[in-house]
Amino acid sequence: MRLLLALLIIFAAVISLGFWTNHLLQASASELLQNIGQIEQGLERNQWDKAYAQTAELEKVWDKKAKWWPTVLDHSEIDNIEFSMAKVKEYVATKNTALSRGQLSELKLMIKHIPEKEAIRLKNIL
Amino acid sequence: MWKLICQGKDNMILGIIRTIILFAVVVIGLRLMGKRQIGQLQPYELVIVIMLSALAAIPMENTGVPLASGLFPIFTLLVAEVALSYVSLKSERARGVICGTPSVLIENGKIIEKELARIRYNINDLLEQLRAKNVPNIADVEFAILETSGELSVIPKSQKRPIVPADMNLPTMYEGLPITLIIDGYVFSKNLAKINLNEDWLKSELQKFGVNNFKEVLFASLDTEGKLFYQVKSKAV
Repeated sequence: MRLLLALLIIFAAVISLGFWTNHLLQASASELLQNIGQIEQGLERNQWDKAYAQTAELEKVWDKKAKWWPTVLDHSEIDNIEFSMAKVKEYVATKNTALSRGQLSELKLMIKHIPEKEAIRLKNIL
Repeated sequence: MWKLICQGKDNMILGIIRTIILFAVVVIGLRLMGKRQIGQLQPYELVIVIMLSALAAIPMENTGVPLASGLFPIFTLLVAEVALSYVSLKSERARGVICGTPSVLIENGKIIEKELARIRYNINDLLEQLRAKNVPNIADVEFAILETSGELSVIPKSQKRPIVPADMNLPTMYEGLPITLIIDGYVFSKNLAKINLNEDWLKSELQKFGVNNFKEVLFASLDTEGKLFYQVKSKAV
């Protein structure tokens, strides 16, 4: 009985950790999306320098907030986001509107997709 | 090129580290599940063992998959197995649902056809199992019960079972377990203390046979009649 109790306690802790992880994923993803939104605003107003500064800021936020993501997410998804971020930075640096916008929307979708994929929903369970 | 080689090497080392971790986790998990696992598996235990191996293999071979996605399901299976074991230990009804119930295939020497058909067990299966149990003649069987683990228990007719001393009213001596005293040169002092003996006694006994050092002994045991059995290590090994 002691073994079962100990395992159930650890199991409860693991479940709580799972919920907490989902919450953290949601929070850090929304912060990243906010940064992407700011880059988009810069592009809309043709403020390329500001947009470029925001891409650097996005990288900083990514390094700070998403450092732990590979421990719970598929590493290939993280790699794709990092590749996409590098592309965005270069497209913004070369002031290419079409490519910057296209890549930004892809990046946005990829980041949005992560907490959605990890959320406890019937769609994901099935 | 060198970078690629280094990356490949890192990937290999990661794979090794992950394999060691997952192997340790699965071994600990199976140990926690108890000794019953190693012997006869109940249907749900078999499912758990198969799933465990598959779960451990995926993050082992693919370093892109987080270790946690293998470890958490393994832990969940461990909890499920231990919980089901406790439930089936405490409740007879749950035991019936989780493990199933034994099926009597031969009762009072008569084959129960209905039961055989119900569990889709044909006569050839039954004969095969009986032969495996050293009962080649079905006419010698009083009871045959198919256990929940899939094992067939056979109770032969009283006329056909081996004779035992009680049948002939023969008195017998107590036969306990022999106590292991030395394995591969290592002396089990705890076992010696259990029977109120010590290493000095063991040493003097072995010296009588020309063995001066415990390290020379491969195995030594003492039976309940006080007979010391020993074998020295072979020099070639």
